[in-house]
Amino acid sequence: MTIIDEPLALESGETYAEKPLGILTRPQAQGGWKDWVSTVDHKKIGIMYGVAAMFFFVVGGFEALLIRTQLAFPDQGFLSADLYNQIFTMHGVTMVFLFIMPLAAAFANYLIPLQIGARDVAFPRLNALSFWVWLSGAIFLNTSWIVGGGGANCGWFCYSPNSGIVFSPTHGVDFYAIGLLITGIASLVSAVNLIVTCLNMRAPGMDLMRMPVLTWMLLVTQFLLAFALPVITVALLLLLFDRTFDSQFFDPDAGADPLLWQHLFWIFGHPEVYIIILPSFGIISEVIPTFSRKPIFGYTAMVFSGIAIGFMGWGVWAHHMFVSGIGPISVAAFSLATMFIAVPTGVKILNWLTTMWGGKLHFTTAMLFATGTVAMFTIGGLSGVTHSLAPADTQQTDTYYIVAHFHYVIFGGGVLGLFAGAYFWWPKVFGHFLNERRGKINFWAMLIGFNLTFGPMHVLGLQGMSRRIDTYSAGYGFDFWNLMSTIGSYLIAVSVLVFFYNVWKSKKEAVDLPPPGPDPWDARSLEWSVPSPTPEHNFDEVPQVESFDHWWFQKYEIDDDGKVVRIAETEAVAQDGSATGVHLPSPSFWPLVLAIGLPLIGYGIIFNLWLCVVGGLLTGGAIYAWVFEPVDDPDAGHGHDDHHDDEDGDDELAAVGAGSTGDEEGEG
Amino acid sequence: MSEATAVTETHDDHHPSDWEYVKIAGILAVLTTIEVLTYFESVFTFFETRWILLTTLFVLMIVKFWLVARMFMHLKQDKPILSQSFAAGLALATGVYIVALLAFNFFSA
Amino acid sequence: MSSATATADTHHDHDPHATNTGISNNKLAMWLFLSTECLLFGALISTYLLYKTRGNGGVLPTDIFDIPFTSVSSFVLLMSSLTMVLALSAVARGDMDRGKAWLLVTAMLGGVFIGGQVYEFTSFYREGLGYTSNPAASAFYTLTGFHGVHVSLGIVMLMSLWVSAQQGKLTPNNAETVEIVGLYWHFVDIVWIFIFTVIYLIPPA
Repeated sequence: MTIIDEPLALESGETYAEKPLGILTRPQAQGGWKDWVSTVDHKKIGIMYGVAAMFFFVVGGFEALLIRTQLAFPDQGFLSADLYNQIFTMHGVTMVFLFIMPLAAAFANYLIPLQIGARDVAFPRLNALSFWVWLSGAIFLNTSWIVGGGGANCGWFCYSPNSGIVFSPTHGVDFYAIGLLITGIASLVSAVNLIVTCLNMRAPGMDLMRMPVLTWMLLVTQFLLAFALPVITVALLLLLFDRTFDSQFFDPDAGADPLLWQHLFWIFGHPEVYIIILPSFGIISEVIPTFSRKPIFGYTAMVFSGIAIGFMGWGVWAHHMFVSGIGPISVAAFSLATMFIAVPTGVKILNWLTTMWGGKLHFTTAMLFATGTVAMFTIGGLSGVTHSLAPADTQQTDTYYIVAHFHYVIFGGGVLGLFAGAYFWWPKVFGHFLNERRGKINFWAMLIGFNLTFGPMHVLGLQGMSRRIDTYSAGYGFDFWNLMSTIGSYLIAVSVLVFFYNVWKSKKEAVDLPPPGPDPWDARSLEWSVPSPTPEHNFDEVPQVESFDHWWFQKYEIDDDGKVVRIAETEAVAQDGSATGVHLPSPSFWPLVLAIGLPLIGYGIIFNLWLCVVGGLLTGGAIYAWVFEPVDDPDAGHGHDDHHDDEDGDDELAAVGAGSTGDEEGEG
Repeated sequence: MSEATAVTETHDDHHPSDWEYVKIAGILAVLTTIEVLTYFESVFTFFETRWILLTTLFVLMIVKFWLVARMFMHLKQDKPILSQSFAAGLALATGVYIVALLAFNFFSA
Repeated sequence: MSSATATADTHHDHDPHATNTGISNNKLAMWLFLSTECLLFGALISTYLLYKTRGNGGVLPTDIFDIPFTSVSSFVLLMSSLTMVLALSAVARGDMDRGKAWLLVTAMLGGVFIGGQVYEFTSFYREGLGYTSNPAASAFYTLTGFHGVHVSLGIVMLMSLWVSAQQGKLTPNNAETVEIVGLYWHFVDIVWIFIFTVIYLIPPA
C-alpha cells in the first residue's frame, strides 16, 4: 500500500483534490447525500439517529396496531398464532432497540458536546460508525420478514428452550440474535465514545458537578450500556451457537439449564430499562426548570439519584424471574432490592415537582409533555412497586397488568419525555419551531390515547387476562376493556400522525415566521448560547464556564434581595456563529463501509459461510483503511496556526497515536 | 479537574526500569510454578481441605493479576481514574456473576 | 462576546490534545473498553462454572486436562507480557530496533500460545470432547475460544505495529499507540491468569 504524500504542483496554483489512491482521501463533500454518509459531525449524526428512530417508531407502531386490532374483539384470528407471536416479538424488539434507544442516542449525540462546551465528541469517526452499524443492524433485523421466514417469534426476551432450533425452526431467531449483536456493537462503541467525551472534553470551568442534569443522566446511561451490553452479547452468542453449531448451552435434555439464558438476559435487561428511562429523566430535568423559570430543585440530589439508579439497577434483575423457580431465598433478596430502587426515583419525582412549585409555569408543548412524563411515570412506578412484592407479582406476572406497567414507564415516561425533548430542542436543531397549537393537539391526543390504551390493561391483567396470547375467548369479561384499549391505540396513531404533520407543516411555515434566534425559550444551558440552527463548529469561542447554569447567569443575576435580575440581552451575550476557519474533524467513508460488512457476515452465518468472508474482508479492510487514512485532509480549512504534529500528512500513525482524528479540540 | 490538563508524558522517574520488569516477570513465574505444583499429588496432600487449596489458588491468582495490572499496565503510575474505571467493571462483573451463581445454588454442597 | 471567553482558548492553543483528566482520549477509551470486557469474560466464565460438571454421560474437560502442557503455554503467555512492556519501554526511549524486536517476540509468543491451544483442542477432540458433546464441552471451548480470538486479534495488532515500524511509520511519537495495544495484550493475559486458575487448576470437587 503506497501512499503518495506530495501533491503534484499545478500550474494554476490550485491544490490537488484527489490522491491517486483515491480511497484514502478524506471526503470533501459540502452537501448532499455524500456529506451525510461521510459526516462525522455529532449534530448530523444525531439528526440521522432521530430520523431513523422515528421511522422505526412507525414500524413498531404498525406492529402494535396489528396486535390491538386482533385483540379488539374476542376469538379473532386474522393473524395466526405464529404470526401474532412474530408481531408482538418484533414490536417489542423494534420499539426498544430500534426506536427508543436510538432516539435517546439522537439527543445524546446532538446535545452532549454542546452542553459541555465542546466542538464534537472524543472520537468523531467512531461516532459515525455507531450510527451506521446500528442502522445496518436495524435493517438486517427487519429483513428477517423477507428472507428469514418471518420475524423472530420468541418474544423480545426470547426465552430458551423455546428459542432453539426445535421450537423456532425458521431463521427469525437467528436474525434476532445477529441483529441485536450488531446493534449492540454500535451502542457499546457509542457508550465508550460519550463517556470519554464527558470525562475529557469539557470546556474550561465545566466541572463534573456543573454539567447539566441531562448530560449527567446520559453519562450514567452510557456506563449502563457499556457494562450491560457485553452480558447480552454473550447470551446472544450462546443462543446463536446453539442454533447454528449445535452447541449445548440451553438444551435441557443435554443437561443444560434454560435459566442461564434468563439470568444473562435480565442482567442486561434490567439495566436496559434504566438505559431507556434515564435520558427522558434528563430531558425533563432541562425542560421543567426552563418553563418554571426556576433552577432545578436539588441539582446534587438529581445527579446522585441518577447515579444511584444506575448502580442499584444491577441488583434487581431477577424480579423478572420471580416465578421461574429460582427459589425463595433469591426471590426474597431480589424483592427487597427492587423495593429499594424506588427511593432514588422518588427523589427525582419530588425534585421535579418542587422545581415547578412556586415557579412561573409556561405550559408550552414541551412542558406539557414533560409534566405528562412525570405523571405517567409515577403511575407506572406505582404499579412497579406492586410488582416488587413477590407474592403479588406471582399473580401479576405474565398478565396484562405487567404490560400496563411497562408501557406506563416506557411510553408514558420514556416516550413522552423524548417528545418533550423534540419540541424543546427543535428550534435549536432545525432553526424553526414546531407549531405550538398543533403540538398541543399532538400532546393531548397522545396522552388520552395512551391512557385509554394502557390504563384498562391494569384491570384486564388483574382480572386474569394472560399476556402474549393471540386471542381470548368471549365470556371472560375481557371484551369491553380490550375494545377500549384498541380505540386508544388508534388515537395514539392519530397523535403520531399529527406529530409528523406538524413536522412537515412547521417547516413549510417557517419561511414566513421570524427565526427563533439562539435562545427562544430563555433557557439555562450552553447550547442556547449559540445560533439556531447550531453552527457546524458549535462555539465561536469555547466558553469559560463559571457555574452551573452558566448561560443563564450570562443573562441574569441574583441581586442582594434574592431576586432574579436581567443583566444582559440575549443577543449581546450569545455567540453569533461567525467564526471562520475553525478546525473540525474530517469526514470519512470508512465507518459506513465497515458497517456494511457486518450484516454480510450475519447473512453468511445464516445462509452461506462465503458471505462471511466477503463481509469480513469489507470490515477488516475498512478497519485498516480507517487506521491509516490521513488524520486530516490537507485541504480542510485551517484558519489558525496549526498545532498539528504532522504538517505534511506523512505520519499516518498520528491518526492512531494521537486520536482518531487528532483534531477534536478546535481552536476558537 | 475541569481545566484542560496537558496529557502527561508516559515516562517519568517512577516508571520501572527494564530490569525491574524482568524481576516482576520472575515473580510471576515463581507464582505460576507454585500454582501448578498444587495440582500434583505429592503437593496436593498438603492441602487438607478443598477450601485451603481454593484460597491458596485464588490468592496466588489475585497477586498475579494485581502485579500485571499495577506494574505492566502502569496503573500504579497512572491517574486513579483509570484504576477506578477498571475496578468498576471488575467489581460489577464479580458481584453480578457471583449473585447469579448463587441463584443457581452453585456454591451449595 | 464576553471577554472572559477569549482567555479560554489559550489553554487549547498550547495543547490541542489537552483533556480534563490529563489522560489521552485513546488511553481512557481502551481502559473503559477493557473494563467492559470483564463483563463479557465473566459471563463466559460463569457459564463454564455452571456447566463444568454437566457431561451428559460423556467426557468432561476436567477429565482430560493436561496441566503440564497448559502450564507451559500459560507461562509463555505470561512472559509475552514481559516482552510487551520491554517493547514499549524501548519504543518510548527511541530504541526502535529493540522495540521492533520485542514486538515481534511478543507476537511470536502469542503465536506459540495459540498453537498450544490449537494442539490442546485437537487432542481433546480426539479424546472425545467435541464442541457439541455436552454443555461442559460447549462452555469450555466457547470460553477458551473467545480468549483465543482475543489473543489472535492482539497478534494482528502487534504485527501491524511491527510492519509499521519496519516501514518507518511507527516512531517514538507513537509510543502511546504501543502502550494502548500493550494494555489490550496485558488484559488478555490477565484473563488467562484467571481462566488458568479457575478452569484448569481447581480440581473437581
